[in-house]
Amino acid sequence: MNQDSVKIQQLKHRYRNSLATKLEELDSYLFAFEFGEGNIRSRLVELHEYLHKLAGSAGMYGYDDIAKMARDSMAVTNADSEMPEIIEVKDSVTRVRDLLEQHA
Amino acid sequence: MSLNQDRVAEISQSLFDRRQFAYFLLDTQWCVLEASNNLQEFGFSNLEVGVDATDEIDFLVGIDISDNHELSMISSPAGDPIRVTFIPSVSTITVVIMDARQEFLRQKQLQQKANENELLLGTQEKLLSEIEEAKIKLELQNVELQEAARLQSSFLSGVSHEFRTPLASIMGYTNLLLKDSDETSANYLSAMKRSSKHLLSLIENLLDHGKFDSNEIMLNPKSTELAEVFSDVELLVRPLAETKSVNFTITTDWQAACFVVLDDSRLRQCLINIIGNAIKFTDQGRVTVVASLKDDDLHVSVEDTGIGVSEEHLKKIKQPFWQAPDTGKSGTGLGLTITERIIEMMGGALDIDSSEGVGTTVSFNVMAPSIEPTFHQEAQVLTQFNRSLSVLMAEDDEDIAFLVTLLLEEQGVKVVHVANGALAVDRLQHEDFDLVLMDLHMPVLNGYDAVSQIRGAGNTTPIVIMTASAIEADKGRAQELGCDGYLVKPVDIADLLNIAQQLVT
Repeated sequence: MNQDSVKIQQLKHRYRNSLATKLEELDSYLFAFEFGEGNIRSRLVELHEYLHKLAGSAGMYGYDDIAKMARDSMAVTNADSEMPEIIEVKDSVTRVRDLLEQHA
Repeated sequence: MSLNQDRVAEISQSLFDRRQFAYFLLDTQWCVLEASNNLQEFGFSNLEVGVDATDEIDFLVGIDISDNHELSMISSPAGDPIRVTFIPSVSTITVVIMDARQEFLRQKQLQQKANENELLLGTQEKLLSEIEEAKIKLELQNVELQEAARLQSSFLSGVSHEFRTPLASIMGYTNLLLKDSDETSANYLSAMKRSSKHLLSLIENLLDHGKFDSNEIMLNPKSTELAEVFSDVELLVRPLAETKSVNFTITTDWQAACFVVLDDSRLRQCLINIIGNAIKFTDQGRVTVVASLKDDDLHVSVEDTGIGVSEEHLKKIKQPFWQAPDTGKSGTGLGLTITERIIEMMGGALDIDSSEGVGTTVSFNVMAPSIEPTFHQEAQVLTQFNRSLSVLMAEDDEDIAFLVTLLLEEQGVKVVHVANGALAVDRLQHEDFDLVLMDLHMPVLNGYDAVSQIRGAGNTTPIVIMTASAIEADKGRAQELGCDGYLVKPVDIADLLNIAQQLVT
């Protein structure tokens, strides 16, 4: 049986401890998307990018549920397709944030 | 010796007279022909032989004597209850008077009992009806209370959620400001962040409480390394203990790499709540955590030498929103309520033992079935290379970059990490690598443009895209640009090394 090395364990701790901050950051992007100024499409792109980043890292650290939900939310927030309703975006992002909150 | 007829009649009369009845004999004209000597005892004092009985006895008036007849319960002339039987013959009527006082008394008692029973029955029916009415009222009130509780929870959840989003946003922006602030501003911003965090934790508790009431909390049990949970908790709460000079220790009885099935995040939440409380209410002394695992049951006790709880307050301590007065500590009063609900959901129980001024011991157990490590935790047979590989990784996410770097380095791979596409292009102009790992979404220069520039410069180093996007269009575009591999995050290091083996000659 191969155990994680001390360094990897430390990294995992670090990531777990960063989930609360990631939750705050996701909230910031969601808040900025909903209430921010300027082009709403570019605000959606920023939110999408953040979800993209989260989907990648959460999966790498074993948070498959967060990764999957973030990918689902990426599909909703994809600015290349038709502009989604704000409520749709909020709904999908909230599901991601609920998982983040659960693990944080 | 034989008795003469008169003597027989005398004895017979005497016996007759001792019985509980009297009699008189009438002719068809109601004239008394004969009467027993005891008639007077039955209230017939004026009835003598030769008198017209109808003059003396009211109940004879108008009576039908053509056949045997009985007046079951009437009053004698003296007012006592009697039973009267008329036995008519051809020329006479024998009237037998019986004492009915006992019977009357029995009847009276029976009637009284019947009346009482009827009264009781009435009262009972009334009571039953009142009980039924009260039951219906209670049921209605219960439904109303449940609805009110549901509305309250729903309201709390809704309000908390609405508060949380902007609050978390404030915290996010505060974090951003903190990065570029001078010392004075940083102090102010740190205070803002602390206050926001406190407010957020209160809101989180309110939300959790609401979710419990509306049965929205679900456990998510999974393979969990116990040591990792306790180590995480220690990392979080130790700084708090150190600020108060409280001696804080955690002792566990399991070996390293002990895996159990439970909801690790909820266990963490319970531990942080209980240990956090112990430290919060202990200004000096110690907080000792002892955890043991036996027969798939995790037992944890947290003992402190804090202010303790009085017997009176101990009864209320688990009630929602209750807080001990005069402790000078703030909170929502929901921490223990939520903790107990979670522990119960996890198949355990929470117990609190405390002495005011001495300290408190909070202990709980939860179901924690032991398991063998899952596949992902098993050793992976990785591709072996004859020489050390060098990899350039362009990845803007530090979390991913650090992890992939470490995992690759543990396999003897040398990794150079850059944070965007432009830096990767630049690095490749001056240095050779066996492989390039390229993220797609990066600041400054994204992965597509970086690959385009690398291939445009004639560099043929194998490039493997590492992205969270599983969209076919992205994969197609990467292939068109000249990428050699496409891995979707989460990337399995074994997959990565296998691709590397195919690409690196």
